Amino acid sequence: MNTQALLTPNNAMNRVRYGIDRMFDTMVPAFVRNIGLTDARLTGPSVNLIEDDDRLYVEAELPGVAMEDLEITVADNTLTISGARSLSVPDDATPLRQERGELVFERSLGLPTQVEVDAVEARMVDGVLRVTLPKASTSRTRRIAVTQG
Amino acid sequence: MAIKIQVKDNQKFDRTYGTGNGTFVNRSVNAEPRTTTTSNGFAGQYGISDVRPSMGCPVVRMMNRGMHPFTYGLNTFAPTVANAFGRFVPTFANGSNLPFARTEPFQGWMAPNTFETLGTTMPHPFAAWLAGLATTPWSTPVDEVDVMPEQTFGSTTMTDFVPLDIYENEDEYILLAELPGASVEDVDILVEGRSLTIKGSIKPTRWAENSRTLLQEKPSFKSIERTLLLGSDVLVEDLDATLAEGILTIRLPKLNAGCTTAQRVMVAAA
Repeated sequence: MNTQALLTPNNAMNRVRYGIDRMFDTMVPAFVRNIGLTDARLTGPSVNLIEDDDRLYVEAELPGVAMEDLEITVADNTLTISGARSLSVPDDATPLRQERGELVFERSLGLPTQVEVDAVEARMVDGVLRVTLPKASTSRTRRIAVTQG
Repeated sequence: MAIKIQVKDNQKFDRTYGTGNGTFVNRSVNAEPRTTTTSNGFAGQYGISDVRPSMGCPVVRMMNRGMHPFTYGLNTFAPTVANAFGRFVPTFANGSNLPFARTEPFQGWMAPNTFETLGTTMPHPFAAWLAGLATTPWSTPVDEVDVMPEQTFGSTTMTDFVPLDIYENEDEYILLAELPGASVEDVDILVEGRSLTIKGSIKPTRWAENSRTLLQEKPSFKSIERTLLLGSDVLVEDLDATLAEGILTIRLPKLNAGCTTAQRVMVAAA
């Protein structure tokens, strides 16, 4: 038996397992979302984390959350978004159906690099919060030219 | 004929009417008098009700034919299943949570219109399949056959769920739909006959070429579609839609707004 093959991290067995994990990681959330089981009240808002050479960007879906009800903190390489949304019932109206509901949330994201805490910006666009975190100068990607000789 | 309505930011929108003669019932106040009799005793004719895009339509079609107790089973099942997920609180048209509390005297077993009843937010998980099952043995008109695959497997297009609040006051129905990230040009409201569809594709944010996604929970491209059936007491022509902070607000004025009491008609003696 070729034990060496099993000890290699990239062995066939691991690849299959990784494939199955990946399938569940992608299909299950899609399925759950599609049948309407994701609930910001239970899971917190959905968050994207995007990186380019100089900055990190965090996007969070927060429809109907007022800016004054939001609190964003950065400490110890962790971004925390917390806030609340109350039920907005129009005046004198009777609810016939309420699928949106109240929302109290707190989400923390570990950031992959050091960021410049003083230069973090947050904007709310169309119900999506967009936080821009400039990377600390030591964490920025620098392209190094390869010279011949 | 469909009317496509464009949503404007925080103001009354323009309507582009399609060609052809209008399909609206009760265009004016003097139209046919409203009747309160519905097929199953639920106040399905009035208000707004829900059709799930993937499963709803074939089922509704089936339901309107409905003659088999099996479909009645769906009616009893759906609210319970919805409760099991802990998400929906089914409230029926008469304001109660009990599916069998009727607003009118019992009229016999009638066509159950689960999807035309207020408050039934989610169909039975196998609703389409069950409906297909129920259709096949007892009534097999030829035109039903080609619907079968769709009934069995559901629609092939995946659409995201749009959480929706519906409120009612004396003058209007108010719909609040969550569409985070949608701008005005992403959303269409389509009105065709009695159905109102909120349809849209929310485009992904454009990032720099060399950016990498490290975590993605929010789908990059969202396709949304949700269809509601409007009662005949809704004045679709005067619908008003605004989009702000990711919340789409649709106001649907009621026909005969303010006339809450029945009018007494004097009958002259012969």
